[in-house]
This record gives sequence, C-alpha cells and structure tokens, in this order.
Amino acid sequence: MMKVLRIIFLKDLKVSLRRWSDLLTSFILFVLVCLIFPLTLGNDPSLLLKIIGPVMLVAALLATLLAMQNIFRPDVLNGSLEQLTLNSYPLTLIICTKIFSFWVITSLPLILISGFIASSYYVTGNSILIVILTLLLSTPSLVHISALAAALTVAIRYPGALMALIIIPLSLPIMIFGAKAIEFSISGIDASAPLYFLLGMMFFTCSLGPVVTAAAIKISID
Amino acid sequence: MTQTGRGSLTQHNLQINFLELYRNDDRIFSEISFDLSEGQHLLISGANGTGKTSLLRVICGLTIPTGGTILWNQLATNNIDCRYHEHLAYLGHKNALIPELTARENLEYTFEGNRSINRTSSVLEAFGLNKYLDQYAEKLSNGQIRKVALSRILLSEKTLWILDEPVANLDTSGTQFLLAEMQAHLDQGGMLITTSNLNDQTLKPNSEINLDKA
Repeated sequence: MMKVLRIIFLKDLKVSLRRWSDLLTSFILFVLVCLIFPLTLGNDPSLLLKIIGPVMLVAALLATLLAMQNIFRPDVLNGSLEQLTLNSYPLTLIICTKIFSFWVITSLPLILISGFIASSYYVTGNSILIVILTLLLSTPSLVHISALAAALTVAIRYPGALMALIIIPLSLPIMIFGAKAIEFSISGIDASAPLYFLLGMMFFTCSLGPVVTAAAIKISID
Repeated sequence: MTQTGRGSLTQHNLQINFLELYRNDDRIFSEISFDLSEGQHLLISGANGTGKTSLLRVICGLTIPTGGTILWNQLATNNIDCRYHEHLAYLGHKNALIPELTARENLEYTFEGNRSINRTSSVLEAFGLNKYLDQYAEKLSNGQIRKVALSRILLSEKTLWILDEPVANLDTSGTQFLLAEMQAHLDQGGMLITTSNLNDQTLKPNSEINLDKA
C-alpha cells in the first residue's frame, strides 16, 4: 500500500515539474500580488504592517486557486484518473497523496519565500516566523478546499470562476484567523489562539477533504 | 501461484443479471444478462451510439447502473471482499497515457511489478516500440500511443480484460499480434470482453451481445 502511494507521489512530482510553466505562473502571481502593495503604497511602515496579513493570505489563495485548476483536469482528459479508480487501493488515500504532492510543489515555494516578502513590509524579528508559520498552517487547508472544488468542476470546460465561487466562502475562516495571527504577532499580542484555530482547520480539512473529493471524483468521471 | 495471477485455485466467473442503464429517462440498454467463465470471450456488438462503451463502463464499475447486478465469483462487485478490481484490466477510448512522461515511464507507472523482463521485451518488440521508449508520450502517434496502452494490458497479468475497440488506430502487424495475444490469454484461462467493429475471423467469440436488438 505504501509502495503504491509512493509511486503515485513521485509520479505526480515528476509530472508537475515537467509542467513547470504552470508552477512558475502561480508562484510569480503570489510574489507580484504581495509586492504590489509595498511598491504602490510607498514608504509607510505602519500602513504596510497593517495590511500584510490579509494581503499574504489573499495572494496565497489566488496562487492556490490558479495552480489547483490543474490537479485533476489533465488526468481526467487523458483517462489516467479513471484507471486510478479501477484498482483495488482506496481512492481516498490515492487522492490524499495527489493533494499532498500538489501542496509540496505549489505551496512549499510560497512558504519558503514568504519570509523575504514579509521583510519588505517592514516585518521584523519573531513576526517573520509567525508569518511563515501562518502560511504553513493555512495552505494545507486551502489546497484541500481547492482540490474539492477542482473535483466538483472537473467536467466543466472553463472552471476558473466557478472554482473561485466555491473556494472563497469556504476559505473565509482560514483568511480571517490567518490575518489575525499575523496582526496579533506584529502588534505584540500572543498569536497562539488563531494559530491553534488554523491547526484545527488543517486537521479538519486534511481528514475530511480527501473523502469528499474522492466521492466527487467518482461522480465526475461517471 | 499468487492469488491475483492467472490459474489460481478458484475458477473465476463473471455473472451479469438484467443490467439496465437510463440517462435522463432515455434507455441506453436494458435486460443485459450473461455469464462469463475462464477462457471465454464475449463480444459486444452494435451500431455506433447503441451504448457499447456505456455497457463496458458499467461492467468495469465506472458507471453505476440503473438496475441489475454484476457478480464476480458470486459476490457483488461493490462488496468489499469481492476484489474484483484486482483481476480487471480496462482500456477505453482514452489511452490513459500521461503526455509529460516518456513511453517507458508510462509503462512503469503500474502498481504490480513482478512481470518478467523477457515478456516485456517481446511485447515491445512485436509492437515495434523499442525505438520510441524514451520519447514523451505527447510526441508519439495515435497508433503508437494505443500500442503502449495495450502493452500495459498485455503485461498486466490480470484475468479479465475489458477492451473497447482494441484494434482502433492499430496497423496490420499490430492487429495480428494483438489478436494472437488475446487468443493466448483465453487459452491460459483468461477472460475477455471486447467491442469491435472489425469483422474478424481469427478470434471467434464464445458469445455475443448485440445492442441493436437489446
């Protein structure tokens, strides 16, 4: 079983890296959306420190949305996803592995660069770590929600707008608490309460998400 | 002998009872019943649009039928003990090749790894694929893509092959080789369900379902 999941994980990583232009697009989108505010708002640290939380999370949401359109679509079109449902291994675990490999390839780069971006917002010291931690805890939830939306819309030709309509309301709690965590830490308040909430949301989406996504996939390829 | 391999102790058997499928109140097919044992070949015939592909997808479990039962070794295929999919190899119109992977990587992307190297090279040789193994699948021609997909079935060591128009896009020598392989599979106790518009004389089906009349 673990061997099968490892095969799927490595194959998804390899295929994603060969579709590097898709990856680069979502990564550059994240960086550009984040950098546009320090460039346009000018040299005002207090204002920038106030908006960095929401900006970071909205940028991460947009980048995830863009990247996750392609998690199932190519495999549905070439027929390899229906072959994945036709073996004796549980589809939920297969989907879970696919989502995890997508998180590694799309969200991990965002998390790694977020510290540098935070410093352009005059964030200093421990707060940089909190920014990174916030993204680390919120991106798994975003990826799982986006995967569900991608599975539901896989039979539609241009799913982008519909995916956004599904994802944005579902990810509001993550946006709110993620922005609060960053804001608290910058203003010197203990940020652990919103971070615990993000951790709880992460476990919730990671445990329930793949089950629902697998069911949606089965319906979509009917 | 492994449980999943051919020639295991239990005789495999596929039984379909009164299968029917409706889409938006339109009848696709109904009252399909047959019994398939080891070494038997079922041909599903019918004009275009009579539901051959839909019937195959229902038999595979990709589409849920409106009514009827599919039993594998006397167990319903959605029963957790049934292990139907361990014995099933399906090839539809989509070849399930990933364009970003090479032909070799596509062939290696399977979950059971105990096939012999001799067998693999003889199948690839017969299909004339050896020269193209390191090309990306998106660079291959339709016929070559079909051959890679078929090689995956031939090398899969599954009991029940469900092939939708297997000879589509194949050249003459590829067709001949495939027909010989299908015959060998039947001789070794395999089971075969195909749809084909080919009026083929060499591979006689044991039974036939004509969807024009169903």
